[in-house]
Amino acid sequence: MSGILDQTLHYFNKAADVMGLSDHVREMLASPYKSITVQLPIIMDDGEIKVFTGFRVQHNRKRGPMKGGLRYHPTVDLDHCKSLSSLMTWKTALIDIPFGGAKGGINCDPKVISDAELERVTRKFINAIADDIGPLKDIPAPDVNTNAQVMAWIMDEYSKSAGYAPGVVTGKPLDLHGSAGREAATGRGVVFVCESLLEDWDQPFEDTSFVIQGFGNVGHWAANILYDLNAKVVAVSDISGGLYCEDGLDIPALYEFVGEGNLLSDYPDYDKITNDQLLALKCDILIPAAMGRAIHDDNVGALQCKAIVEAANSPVTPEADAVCFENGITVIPDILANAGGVTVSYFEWTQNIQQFQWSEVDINTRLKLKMRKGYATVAKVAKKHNVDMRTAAFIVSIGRVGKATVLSGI
Amino acid sequence: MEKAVQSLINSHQDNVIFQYFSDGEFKELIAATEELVIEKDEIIFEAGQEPVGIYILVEGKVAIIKMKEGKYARTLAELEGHTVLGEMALLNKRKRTSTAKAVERTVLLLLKRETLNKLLENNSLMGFKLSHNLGAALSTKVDKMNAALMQMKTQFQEFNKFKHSLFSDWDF
Repeated sequence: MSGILDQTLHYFNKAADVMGLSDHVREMLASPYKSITVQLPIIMDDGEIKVFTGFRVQHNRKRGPMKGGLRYHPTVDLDHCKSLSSLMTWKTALIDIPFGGAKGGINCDPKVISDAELERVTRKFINAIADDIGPLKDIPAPDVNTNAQVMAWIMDEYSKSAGYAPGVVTGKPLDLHGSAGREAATGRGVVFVCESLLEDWDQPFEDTSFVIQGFGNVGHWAANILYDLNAKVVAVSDISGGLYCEDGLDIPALYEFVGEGNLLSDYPDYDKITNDQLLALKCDILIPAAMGRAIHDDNVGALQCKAIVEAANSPVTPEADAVCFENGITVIPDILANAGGVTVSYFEWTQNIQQFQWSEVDINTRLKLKMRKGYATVAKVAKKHNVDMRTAAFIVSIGRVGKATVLSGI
Repeated sequence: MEKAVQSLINSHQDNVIFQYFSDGEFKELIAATEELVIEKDEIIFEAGQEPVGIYILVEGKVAIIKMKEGKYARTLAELEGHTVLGEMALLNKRKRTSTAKAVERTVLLLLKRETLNKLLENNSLMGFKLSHNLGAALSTKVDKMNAALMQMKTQFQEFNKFKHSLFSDWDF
Protein backbone atom coordinates (compact mmCIF):
# COMPACT_ATOMS: atom_id res chain seq x y z
CA MET A 1 0.00 0.00 0.00
CA SER A 2 1.95 2.97 -1.23
CA GLY A 3 -0.24 6.01 -1.77
CA ILE A 4 -2.20 8.09 0.67
CA LEU A 5 -5.30 7.37 -1.45
CA ASP A 6 -4.87 3.64 -0.81
CA GLN A 7 -4.34 4.27 2.90
CA THR A 8 -7.47 6.36 3.39
CA LEU A 9 -9.56 3.85 1.47
CA HIS A 10 -8.03 0.99 3.47
CA TYR A 11 -9.04 2.54 6.79
CA PHE A 12 -12.45 3.54 5.44
CA ASN A 13 -13.09 -0.03 4.26
CA LYS A 14 -11.83 -1.51 7.52
CA ALA A 15 -14.44 0.53 9.41
CA ALA A 16 -17.08 -0.16 6.75
CA ASP A 17 -16.43 -3.92 7.20
CA VAL A 18 -17.14 -3.63 10.93
CA MET A 19 -20.31 -1.65 10.15
CA GLY A 20 -21.35 -4.20 7.52
CA LEU A 21 -21.79 -1.60 4.78
CA SER A 22 -22.66 -2.78 1.27
CA ASP A 23 -20.53 -1.84 -1.74
CA HIS A 24 -23.25 0.50 -2.89
CA VAL A 25 -23.32 2.45 0.40
CA ARG A 26 -19.51 2.56 0.50
CA GLU A 27 -19.40 4.02 -2.99
CA MET A 28 -22.00 6.61 -2.06
CA LEU A 29 -19.98 7.78 0.97
CA ALA A 30 -16.47 7.53 -0.42
CA SER A 31 -16.90 9.18 -3.84
CA PRO A 32 -16.03 12.89 -4.15
CA TYR A 33 -18.83 15.35 -4.85
CA LYS A 34 -16.91 17.51 -7.31
CA SER A 35 -13.39 17.62 -8.80
CA ILE A 36 -12.17 20.84 -10.36
CA THR A 37 -9.04 21.25 -12.52
CA VAL A 38 -8.10 24.67 -13.86
CA GLN A 39 -5.25 25.94 -16.01
CA LEU A 40 -3.51 29.00 -14.58
CA PRO A 41 -1.37 30.90 -17.10
CA ILE A 42 0.60 33.72 -15.49
CA ILE A 43 3.30 36.11 -16.65
CA MET A 44 6.49 35.37 -14.74
CA ASP A 45 8.80 38.15 -13.55
CA ASP A 46 11.06 37.64 -16.59
CA GLY A 47 8.15 38.11 -19.01
CA GLU A 48 7.78 34.42 -19.84
CA ILE A 49 4.29 32.90 -19.72
CA LYS A 50 4.03 29.82 -17.55
CA VAL A 51 0.96 27.64 -17.10
CA PHE A 52 0.33 26.04 -13.72
CA THR A 53 -2.52 23.66 -12.89
CA GLY A 54 -4.83 24.21 -9.95
CA PHE A 55 -7.01 21.57 -8.31
CA ARG A 56 -9.89 21.59 -5.86
CA VAL A 57 -11.69 18.45 -4.86
CA GLN A 58 -14.89 18.81 -2.84
CA HIS A 59 -15.55 15.49 -1.20
CA ASN A 60 -18.73 15.74 0.82
CA ARG A 61 -21.08 18.63 1.66
CA LYS A 62 -23.78 16.85 3.63
CA ARG A 63 -22.65 18.15 7.03
CA GLY A 64 -21.87 21.72 5.98
CA PRO A 65 -19.64 23.87 3.78
CA MET A 66 -16.58 21.96 2.65
CA LYS A 67 -13.29 22.64 4.38
CA GLY A 68 -9.71 21.81 3.56
CA GLY A 69 -6.27 23.16 2.86
CA LEU A 70 -4.56 24.41 -0.26
CA ARG A 71 -1.07 23.06 -0.83
CA TYR A 72 1.46 24.40 -3.29
CA HIS A 73 3.80 21.64 -4.34
CA PRO A 74 5.08 20.19 -7.64
CA THR A 75 3.59 16.77 -6.77
CA VAL A 76 0.03 18.02 -6.21
CA ASP A 77 -2.45 16.24 -8.51
CA LEU A 78 -6.12 15.32 -8.59
CA ASP A 79 -5.72 11.88 -6.96
CA HIS A 80 -3.72 13.41 -4.13
CA CYS A 81 -6.46 15.99 -3.54
CA LYS A 82 -9.20 13.34 -3.76
CA SER A 83 -7.67 11.31 -0.97
CA LEU A 84 -6.88 14.26 1.26
CA SER A 85 -10.34 15.73 0.71
CA SER A 86 -11.95 12.51 1.95
CA LEU A 87 -9.67 12.57 4.98
CA MET A 88 -11.05 16.06 5.73
CA THR A 89 -14.62 14.76 5.51
CA TRP A 90 -13.85 12.11 8.11
CA LYS A 91 -11.84 14.51 10.28
CA THR A 92 -14.49 17.25 10.43
CA ALA A 93 -17.19 14.65 11.12
CA LEU A 94 -15.14 13.02 13.84
CA ILE A 95 -14.46 16.24 15.72
CA ASP A 96 -18.10 17.16 15.07
CA ILE A 97 -17.74 20.54 13.45
CA PRO A 98 -20.34 21.49 10.81
CA PHE A 99 -18.16 21.06 7.75
CA GLY A 100 -17.64 18.64 4.90
CA GLY A 101 -14.27 17.85 3.36
CA ALA A 102 -12.25 19.39 0.55
CA LYS A 103 -8.63 19.74 -0.52
CA GLY A 104 -6.81 21.52 -3.29
CA GLY A 105 -3.63 23.05 -4.46
CA ILE A 106 -1.45 24.21 -7.29
CA ASN A 107 1.35 22.18 -8.84
CA CYS A 108 4.03 24.81 -8.32
CA ASP A 109 7.17 25.06 -6.22
CA PRO A 110 7.04 28.19 -4.06
CA LYS A 111 10.75 27.80 -3.39
CA VAL A 112 11.62 28.70 -6.98
CA ILE A 113 9.03 31.36 -7.75
CA SER A 114 8.97 34.90 -6.43
CA ASP A 115 6.41 36.28 -3.98
CA ALA A 116 4.91 38.40 -6.77
CA GLU A 117 4.51 35.31 -8.98
CA LEU A 118 3.03 33.41 -6.04
CA GLU A 119 0.50 36.19 -5.50
CA ARG A 120 -0.44 36.24 -9.21
CA VAL A 121 -0.95 32.49 -9.43
CA THR A 122 -2.96 32.50 -6.18
CA ARG A 123 -5.26 35.28 -7.39
CA LYS A 124 -5.66 33.58 -10.79
CA PHE A 125 -6.61 30.34 -9.03
CA ILE A 126 -9.20 32.03 -6.84
CA ASN A 127 -10.71 33.77 -9.87
CA ALA A 128 -10.97 30.41 -11.61
CA ILE A 129 -12.75 28.67 -8.73
CA ALA A 130 -14.64 31.70 -7.32
CA ASP A 131 -18.04 30.21 -8.18
CA ASP A 132 -17.25 27.03 -6.27
CA ILE A 133 -15.86 28.49 -3.03
CA GLY A 134 -17.40 30.82 -0.46
CA PRO A 135 -18.18 31.05 3.27
CA LEU A 136 -21.20 28.75 2.82
CA LYS A 137 -19.75 26.56 0.06
CA ASP A 138 -16.08 25.69 0.43
CA ILE A 139 -13.55 27.33 2.74
CA PRO A 140 -9.84 26.84 1.95
CA ALA A 141 -7.09 26.99 4.60
CA PRO A 142 -3.28 26.87 4.74
CA ASP A 143 -1.49 23.61 4.02
CA VAL A 144 1.94 22.60 2.71
CA ASN A 145 3.78 25.73 1.45
CA THR A 146 0.86 28.08 1.97
CA ASN A 147 0.55 30.51 4.86
CA ALA A 148 -1.40 33.40 6.36
CA GLN A 149 -0.20 35.75 3.59
CA VAL A 150 -1.55 33.45 0.86
CA MET A 151 -4.85 33.24 2.74
CA ALA A 152 -4.99 37.06 2.89
CA TRP A 153 -4.60 37.22 -0.92
CA ILE A 154 -7.37 34.65 -1.28
CA MET A 155 -9.70 36.65 0.93
CA ASP A 156 -8.95 39.84 -0.97
CA GLU A 157 -9.39 38.30 -4.42
CA TYR A 158 -12.65 36.58 -3.53
CA SER A 159 -13.99 39.74 -1.84
CA LYS A 160 -13.52 41.72 -5.07
CA SER A 161 -16.45 39.90 -6.66
CA ALA A 162 -18.44 38.68 -3.65
CA GLY A 163 -18.15 41.65 -1.28
CA TYR A 164 -16.06 41.68 1.87
CA ALA A 165 -15.93 38.04 2.88
CA PRO A 166 -13.34 37.08 5.50
CA GLY A 167 -15.24 33.80 6.07
CA VAL A 168 -14.19 32.48 2.65
CA VAL A 169 -10.85 31.32 4.03
CA THR A 170 -9.26 30.54 7.39
CA GLY A 171 -5.70 30.73 8.65
CA LYS A 172 -5.59 34.46 7.86
CA PRO A 173 -3.24 36.87 9.63
CA LEU A 174 -4.45 37.94 13.07
CA ASP A 175 -4.69 41.53 11.82
CA LEU A 176 -6.97 40.47 8.97
CA HIS A 177 -9.72 38.53 10.72
CA GLY A 178 -7.53 35.60 11.72
CA SER A 179 -8.15 33.85 15.01
CA ALA A 180 -6.22 33.93 18.24
CA GLY A 181 -4.73 30.52 19.04
CA ARG A 182 -4.64 29.36 15.39
CA GLU A 183 -0.87 28.93 15.21
CA ALA A 184 -0.67 26.69 18.28
CA ALA A 185 -3.98 24.93 17.61
CA THR A 186 -2.76 21.63 16.14
CA GLY A 187 -0.03 21.18 18.77
CA ARG A 188 -2.41 22.16 21.55
CA GLY A 189 -5.01 19.72 20.24
CA VAL A 190 -2.39 16.96 20.32
CA VAL A 191 -1.76 17.72 23.99
CA PHE A 192 -5.48 17.68 24.83
CA VAL A 193 -5.70 14.23 23.28
CA CYS A 194 -2.68 13.11 25.32
CA GLU A 195 -4.41 14.47 28.43
CA SER A 196 -7.47 12.30 27.76
CA LEU A 197 -5.29 9.27 27.08
CA LEU A 198 -3.39 9.78 30.33
CA GLU A 199 -6.65 10.06 32.24
CA ASP A 200 -7.57 6.64 30.86
CA TRP A 201 -4.23 5.39 32.14
CA ASP A 202 -4.70 7.26 35.43
CA GLN A 203 -1.25 8.75 34.96
CA PRO A 204 -0.27 12.42 35.53
CA PHE A 205 1.74 14.43 32.98
CA GLU A 206 4.55 14.75 35.52
CA ASP A 207 5.16 11.00 35.43
CA THR A 208 4.93 10.68 31.66
CA SER A 209 7.77 10.66 29.16
CA PHE A 210 7.27 11.99 25.62
CA VAL A 211 9.32 11.64 22.45
CA ILE A 212 8.50 14.05 19.62
CA GLN A 213 9.66 13.57 16.05
CA GLY A 214 9.60 16.94 14.31
CA PHE A 215 10.19 20.39 15.78
CA GLY A 216 8.18 22.46 13.29
CA ASN A 217 4.97 24.30 14.07
CA VAL A 218 3.07 21.28 15.42
CA GLY A 219 5.94 19.48 17.16
CA HIS A 220 7.33 22.59 18.79
CA TRP A 221 3.95 23.76 20.13
CA ALA A 222 3.14 20.31 21.48
CA ALA A 223 6.56 20.14 23.15
CA ASN A 224 6.20 23.61 24.58
CA ILE A 225 2.75 23.00 26.08
CA LEU A 226 3.84 19.62 27.47
CA TYR A 227 6.88 21.31 29.03
CA ASP A 228 4.57 23.85 30.71
CA LEU A 229 2.53 20.93 32.09
CA ASN A 230 5.71 19.53 33.66
CA ALA A 231 5.73 16.48 31.39
CA LYS A 232 9.11 14.99 30.53
CA VAL A 233 9.89 15.59 26.86
CA VAL A 234 12.94 13.32 26.68
CA ALA A 235 13.70 13.65 22.96
CA VAL A 236 12.90 15.87 19.97
CA SER A 237 14.25 15.93 16.44
CA ASP A 238 14.33 17.91 13.21
CA ILE A 239 15.79 17.06 9.79
CA SER A 240 19.32 17.24 11.20
CA GLY A 241 18.68 14.60 13.88
CA GLY A 242 17.56 14.47 17.50
CA LEU A 243 18.47 15.38 21.06
CA TYR A 244 17.93 13.11 24.05
CA CYS A 245 17.94 13.65 27.79
CA GLU A 246 16.46 11.08 30.17
CA ASP A 247 15.48 13.80 32.68
CA GLY A 248 13.71 15.91 30.07
CA LEU A 249 14.83 18.62 27.63
CA ASP A 250 14.68 22.37 28.16
CA ILE A 251 12.14 23.00 25.39
CA PRO A 252 12.02 26.86 25.59
CA ALA A 253 15.81 26.95 25.27
CA LEU A 254 15.69 24.63 22.25
CA TYR A 255 12.96 26.73 20.64
CA GLU A 256 14.99 29.88 21.10
CA PHE A 257 18.03 28.13 19.60
CA VAL A 258 16.08 26.90 16.54
CA GLY A 259 14.40 30.31 16.21
CA GLU A 260 17.84 31.81 15.64
CA GLY A 261 18.14 29.71 12.49
CA ASN A 262 20.06 26.79 14.01
CA LEU A 263 19.54 23.07 13.62
CA LEU A 264 18.95 20.87 16.66
CA SER A 265 22.06 18.81 15.91
CA ASP A 266 24.17 21.93 16.57
CA TYR A 267 22.79 22.40 20.08
CA PRO A 268 25.73 22.26 22.50
CA ASP A 269 24.05 20.14 25.17
CA TYR A 270 22.30 16.74 25.37
CA ASP A 271 22.96 13.39 23.66
CA LYS A 272 22.79 13.44 19.86
CA ILE A 273 20.66 10.73 18.27
CA THR A 274 19.40 9.89 14.80
CA ASN A 275 15.73 10.01 13.85
CA ASP A 276 15.63 6.19 13.77
CA GLN A 277 17.14 6.01 17.28
CA LEU A 278 14.59 8.56 18.45
CA LEU A 279 11.67 6.42 17.27
CA ALA A 280 13.05 3.41 19.13
CA LEU A 281 13.44 5.21 22.48
CA LYS A 282 11.63 3.85 25.50
CA CYS A 283 8.87 6.31 26.42
CA ASP A 284 5.20 6.51 27.31
CA ILE A 285 3.98 8.50 24.33
CA LEU A 286 5.62 8.91 20.92
CA ILE A 287 4.40 11.88 18.89
CA PRO A 288 5.38 11.70 15.20
CA ALA A 289 4.92 15.31 14.09
CA ALA A 290 7.06 15.40 10.98
CA MET A 291 6.42 13.58 7.73
CA GLY A 292 4.04 10.84 6.64
CA ARG A 293 5.04 7.15 6.72
CA ALA A 294 7.73 7.72 9.38
CA ILE A 295 6.77 4.48 11.12
CA HIS A 296 6.73 1.56 8.74
CA ASP A 297 7.35 -2.16 8.34
CA ASP A 298 11.10 -1.86 8.89
CA ASN A 299 11.14 0.16 12.12
CA VAL A 300 7.85 -0.64 13.83
CA GLY A 301 9.35 -3.66 15.57
CA ALA A 302 11.85 -1.44 17.41
CA LEU A 303 9.24 0.81 19.02
CA GLN A 304 9.24 0.88 22.82
CA CYS A 305 6.43 3.36 23.44
CA LYS A 306 3.07 2.59 25.01
CA ALA A 307 1.16 4.86 22.65
CA ILE A 308 1.57 6.82 19.44
CA VAL A 309 -0.29 10.09 19.00
CA GLU A 310 -0.28 10.94 15.29
CA ALA A 311 0.34 14.68 15.11
CA ALA A 312 1.44 14.44 11.46
CA ASN A 313 -0.80 13.15 8.67
CA SER A 314 -0.41 9.38 8.08
CA PRO A 315 2.88 8.93 10.00
CA VAL A 316 2.13 5.23 10.56
CA THR A 317 1.68 2.98 7.52
CA PRO A 318 -1.29 0.56 7.55
CA GLU A 319 1.12 -2.39 7.82
CA ALA A 320 2.86 -0.82 10.84
CA ASP A 321 -0.52 0.13 12.30
CA ALA A 322 -1.51 -3.55 12.36
CA VAL A 323 1.76 -4.47 14.09
CA CYS A 324 1.18 -1.77 16.72
CA PHE A 325 -2.27 -3.22 17.46
CA GLU A 326 -0.80 -6.72 17.81
CA ASN A 327 1.97 -5.41 20.09
CA GLY A 328 -0.45 -3.54 22.33
CA ILE A 329 0.68 -0.05 21.29
CA THR A 330 -2.29 2.32 21.28
CA VAL A 331 -2.36 4.50 18.16
CA ILE A 332 -4.38 7.71 18.37
CA PRO A 333 -5.11 8.36 14.69
CA ASP A 334 -4.30 11.54 12.82
CA ILE A 335 -7.94 12.37 12.07
CA LEU A 336 -8.42 12.81 15.81
CA ALA A 337 -4.94 13.76 17.09
CA ASN A 338 -4.24 16.60 14.65
CA ALA A 339 -7.80 17.87 14.32
CA GLY A 340 -7.01 20.89 16.51
CA GLY A 341 -6.00 22.88 13.44
CA VAL A 342 -9.26 22.48 11.58
CA THR A 343 -11.20 22.96 14.81
CA VAL A 344 -9.70 26.40 15.38
CA SER A 345 -10.24 27.08 11.66
CA TYR A 346 -13.90 26.44 12.39
CA PHE A 347 -13.72 28.90 15.29
CA GLU A 348 -12.12 31.47 12.96
CA TRP A 349 -14.91 31.00 10.41
CA THR A 350 -17.53 31.21 13.18
CA GLN A 351 -16.05 34.52 14.40
CA ASN A 352 -15.86 35.84 10.81
CA ILE A 353 -19.45 35.12 9.85
CA GLN A 354 -20.73 36.57 13.14
CA GLN A 355 -18.23 39.43 13.12
CA PHE A 356 -17.16 38.55 16.67
CA GLN A 357 -13.71 38.17 18.13
CA TRP A 358 -12.99 35.59 20.78
CA SER A 359 -10.05 35.70 23.20
CA GLU A 360 -7.31 33.09 23.11
CA VAL A 361 -8.58 31.71 26.43
CA ASP A 362 -12.02 31.30 24.85
CA ILE A 363 -10.54 29.53 21.84
CA ASN A 364 -8.42 27.17 23.92
CA THR A 365 -11.32 26.31 26.22
CA ARG A 366 -13.57 25.48 23.27
CA LEU A 367 -10.78 23.52 21.58
CA LYS A 368 -10.23 21.48 24.72
CA LEU A 369 -13.92 20.58 24.88
CA LYS A 370 -13.97 19.47 21.23
CA MET A 371 -10.79 17.41 21.43
CA ARG A 372 -11.75 15.69 24.68
CA LYS A 373 -15.23 14.92 23.42
CA GLY A 374 -13.73 13.53 20.20
CA TYR A 375 -11.37 11.31 22.16
CA ALA A 376 -14.09 10.12 24.55
CA THR A 377 -16.42 9.14 21.68
CA VAL A 378 -13.71 7.25 19.83
CA ALA A 379 -12.52 5.46 22.99
CA LYS A 380 -16.10 4.45 23.80
CA VAL A 381 -16.70 3.03 20.31
CA ALA A 382 -13.31 1.25 20.31
CA LYS A 383 -14.17 -0.42 23.61
CA LYS A 384 -17.74 -1.29 22.67
CA HIS A 385 -16.81 -2.89 19.34
CA ASN A 386 -13.37 -4.16 20.35
CA VAL A 387 -11.55 -2.34 17.56
CA ASP A 388 -8.47 -0.13 17.44
CA MET A 389 -8.84 3.64 17.91
CA ARG A 390 -8.38 4.39 14.19
CA THR A 391 -11.13 2.02 13.11
CA ALA A 392 -13.34 3.46 15.84
CA ALA A 393 -12.60 6.99 14.61
CA PHE A 394 -13.62 6.06 11.06
CA ILE A 395 -16.76 4.35 12.37
CA VAL A 396 -17.79 7.54 14.18
CA SER A 397 -17.05 9.65 11.09
CA ILE A 398 -18.87 7.34 8.69
CA GLY A 399 -21.82 7.21 11.07
CA ARG A 400 -22.09 11.00 11.23
CA VAL A 401 -21.66 11.56 7.49
CA GLY A 402 -24.09 8.70 6.87
CA LYS A 403 -26.72 10.24 9.13
CA ALA A 404 -26.43 13.61 7.43
CA THR A 405 -26.75 11.86 4.07
CA VAL A 406 -29.83 9.82 4.86
CA LEU A 407 -31.55 12.67 6.72
CA SER A 408 -31.00 15.22 3.97
CA GLY A 409 -31.89 12.71 1.26
CA ILE A 410 -29.74 11.32 -1.50
CA MET B 1 -34.25 -0.72 -54.20
CA GLU B 2 -30.97 -2.69 -54.14
CA LYS B 3 -29.27 0.27 -52.48
CA ALA B 4 -32.00 0.52 -49.83
CA VAL B 5 -31.77 -3.23 -49.11
CA GLN B 6 -28.00 -3.05 -48.79
CA SER B 7 -28.21 -0.05 -46.52
CA LEU B 8 -30.71 -1.85 -44.28
CA ILE B 9 -28.61 -5.01 -44.19
CA ASN B 10 -25.50 -3.00 -43.34
CA SER B 11 -27.12 -1.03 -40.58
CA HIS B 12 -29.30 -3.73 -39.05
CA GLN B 13 -27.63 -7.06 -39.67
CA ASP B 14 -26.51 -7.27 -36.01
CA ASN B 15 -29.93 -6.28 -34.71
CA VAL B 16 -31.56 -9.19 -32.90
CA ILE B 17 -34.93 -8.31 -34.48
CA PHE B 18 -33.58 -9.16 -37.94
CA GLN B 19 -31.48 -12.18 -37.00
CA TYR B 20 -31.54 -15.06 -39.51
CA PHE B 21 -32.86 -12.69 -42.23
CA SER B 22 -31.64 -13.49 -45.72
CA ASP B 23 -31.04 -10.71 -48.25
CA GLY B 24 -34.31 -11.70 -49.92
CA GLU B 25 -36.17 -11.34 -46.66
CA PHE B 26 -34.69 -7.90 -46.10
CA LYS B 27 -35.95 -7.08 -49.61
CA GLU B 28 -39.41 -8.42 -48.69
CA LEU B 29 -39.39 -6.36 -45.50
CA ILE B 30 -38.56 -3.15 -47.32
CA ALA B 31 -41.30 -3.80 -49.85
CA ALA B 32 -43.76 -4.17 -46.97
CA THR B 33 -42.75 -0.89 -45.30
CA GLU B 34 -43.44 2.73 -45.91
CA GLU B 35 -40.50 5.18 -45.93
CA LEU B 36 -40.91 8.23 -43.69
CA VAL B 37 -38.65 11.27 -43.80
CA ILE B 38 -39.00 13.27 -40.60
CA GLU B 39 -37.44 16.72 -40.33
CA LYS B 40 -35.63 17.95 -37.21
CA ASP B 41 -37.94 18.52 -34.20
CA GLU B 42 -40.93 16.89 -35.92
CA ILE B 43 -42.92 14.36 -33.91
CA ILE B 44 -42.90 10.72 -35.09
CA PHE B 45 -45.54 9.56 -32.63
CA GLU B 46 -47.00 11.00 -29.47
CA ALA B 47 -47.83 9.60 -26.05
CA GLY B 48 -51.50 8.61 -25.94
CA GLN B 49 -51.76 7.83 -29.67
CA GLU B 50 -52.99 4.50 -31.00
CA PRO B 51 -49.90 2.62 -32.24
CA VAL B 52 -49.57 2.09 -35.98
CA GLY B 53 -46.58 -0.22 -36.27
CA ILE B 54 -42.86 -0.62 -35.80
CA TYR B 55 -40.31 1.97 -36.98
CA ILE B 56 -36.94 0.88 -38.33
CA LEU B 57 -34.36 3.65 -38.01
CA VAL B 58 -32.41 3.99 -41.28
CA GLU B 59 -30.63 7.27 -40.60
CA GLY B 60 -30.79 10.16 -38.16
CA LYS B 61 -31.48 10.40 -34.44
CA VAL B 62 -34.69 10.08 -32.41
CA ALA B 63 -35.41 11.29 -28.86
CA ILE B 64 -37.82 9.30 -26.71
CA ILE B 65 -39.50 11.80 -24.41
CA LYS B 66 -41.62 11.22 -21.35
CA MET B 67 -44.41 13.77 -21.23
CA LYS B 68 -46.23 14.86 -18.09
CA GLU B 69 -49.64 16.47 -18.35
CA GLY B 70 -49.02 17.21 -22.00
CA LYS B 71 -45.80 19.07 -21.27
CA TYR B 72 -42.24 18.07 -21.94
CA ALA B 73 -40.84 16.29 -18.87
CA ARG B 74 -37.56 14.58 -19.72
CA THR B 75 -35.73 12.71 -22.43
CA LEU B 76 -35.54 9.01 -21.64
CA ALA B 77 -33.18 8.11 -24.44
CA GLU B 78 -31.74 9.23 -27.75
CA LEU B 79 -31.75 6.49 -30.36
CA GLU B 80 -29.51 6.28 -33.40
CA GLY B 81 -27.81 3.63 -35.45
CA HIS B 82 -29.03 0.02 -35.42
CA THR B 83 -32.35 0.54 -33.73
CA VAL B 84 -36.04 -0.10 -34.03
CA LEU B 85 -38.66 1.72 -32.03
CA GLY B 86 -42.28 1.17 -31.14
CA GLU B 87 -41.96 -2.62 -31.44
CA MET B 88 -44.55 -3.22 -28.68
CA ALA B 89 -47.16 -1.92 -31.14
CA LEU B 90 -46.87 -5.09 -33.20
CA LEU B 91 -47.82 -7.24 -30.25
CA ASN B 92 -50.51 -5.25 -28.48
CA LYS B 93 -52.78 -2.26 -29.06
CA ARG B 94 -51.78 -0.30 -25.98
CA LYS B 95 -51.52 3.43 -26.60
CA ARG B 96 -48.06 4.97 -26.88
CA THR B 97 -46.59 5.74 -23.44
CA SER B 98 -43.95 8.16 -24.66
CA THR B 99 -43.34 10.60 -27.49
CA ALA B 100 -40.73 10.15 -30.25
CA LYS B 101 -39.25 13.24 -31.83
CA ALA B 102 -36.59 13.62 -34.55
CA VAL B 103 -33.45 15.22 -33.10
CA GLU B 104 -32.16 15.71 -36.67
CA ARG B 105 -33.45 14.86 -40.14
CA THR B 106 -34.39 11.20 -39.80
CA VAL B 107 -35.35 8.43 -42.22
CA LEU B 108 -37.52 5.59 -40.89
CA LEU B 109 -39.26 2.56 -42.38
CA LEU B 110 -42.74 1.99 -40.95
CA LEU B 111 -44.07 -1.57 -40.88
CA LYS B 112 -47.75 -1.36 -40.04
CA ARG B 113 -49.37 -4.00 -37.87
CA GLU B 114 -51.96 -4.84 -40.55
CA THR B 115 -49.17 -5.40 -43.05
CA LEU B 116 -47.41 -7.83 -40.74
CA ASN B 117 -50.70 -9.62 -40.07
CA LYS B 118 -51.22 -10.02 -43.83
CA LEU B 119 -47.69 -11.40 -44.23
CA LEU B 120 -48.41 -13.96 -41.50
CA GLU B 121 -51.76 -14.90 -43.10
CA ASN B 122 -49.83 -15.55 -46.32
CA ASN B 123 -47.30 -17.72 -44.45
CA SER B 124 -44.42 -15.34 -45.03
CA LEU B 125 -41.28 -16.84 -43.47
CA MET B 126 -39.91 -13.31 -43.03
CA GLY B 127 -43.07 -12.40 -41.12
CA PHE B 128 -42.71 -15.41 -38.82
CA LYS B 129 -39.01 -14.69 -38.26
CA LEU B 130 -39.80 -11.06 -37.44
CA SER B 131 -42.52 -12.03 -34.95
CA HIS B 132 -40.28 -14.61 -33.33
CA ASN B 133 -37.38 -12.19 -33.10
CA LEU B 134 -39.58 -9.46 -31.63
CA GLY B 135 -40.72 -11.89 -28.94
CA ALA B 136 -37.13 -12.85 -28.19
CA ALA B 137 -36.03 -9.19 -28.05
CA LEU B 138 -38.87 -8.25 -25.73
CA SER B 139 -38.10 -11.24 -23.53
CA THR B 140 -34.49 -10.03 -23.22
CA LYS B 141 -35.75 -6.55 -22.35
CA VAL B 142 -38.01 -7.97 -19.64
CA ASP B 143 -35.08 -9.95 -18.22
CA LYS B 144 -32.93 -6.82 -18.15
CA MET B 145 -35.71 -4.84 -16.48
CA ASN B 146 -36.16 -7.56 -13.90
CA ALA B 147 -32.43 -7.57 -13.17
CA ALA B 148 -32.42 -3.76 -12.88
CA LEU B 149 -35.46 -3.85 -10.59
CA MET B 150 -33.83 -6.51 -8.43
CA GLN B 151 -30.68 -4.40 -8.20
CA MET B 152 -32.74 -1.34 -7.26
CA LYS B 153 -34.62 -3.37 -4.68
CA THR B 154 -31.35 -4.67 -3.20
CA GLN B 155 -29.86 -1.19 -3.11
CA PHE B 156 -33.00 0.17 -1.48
CA GLN B 157 -32.91 -2.58 1.14
CA GLU B 158 -29.20 -1.99 1.76
CA PHE B 159 -29.79 1.73 2.12
CA ASN B 160 -32.67 1.18 4.55
CA LYS B 161 -30.57 -1.27 6.56
CA PHE B 162 -27.77 1.32 6.67
CA LYS B 163 -30.25 4.03 7.70
CA HIS B 164 -31.66 1.87 10.47
CA SER B 165 -28.20 0.90 11.75
CA LEU B 166 -27.14 4.56 11.92
CA PHE B 167 -29.81 5.28 14.49
CA SER B 168 -29.26 2.10 16.48
CA ASP B 169 -25.86 0.37 16.32
CA TRP B 170 -23.91 3.43 15.18
CA ASP B 171 -25.58 6.19 17.17
CA PHE B 172 -22.89 8.05 19.10
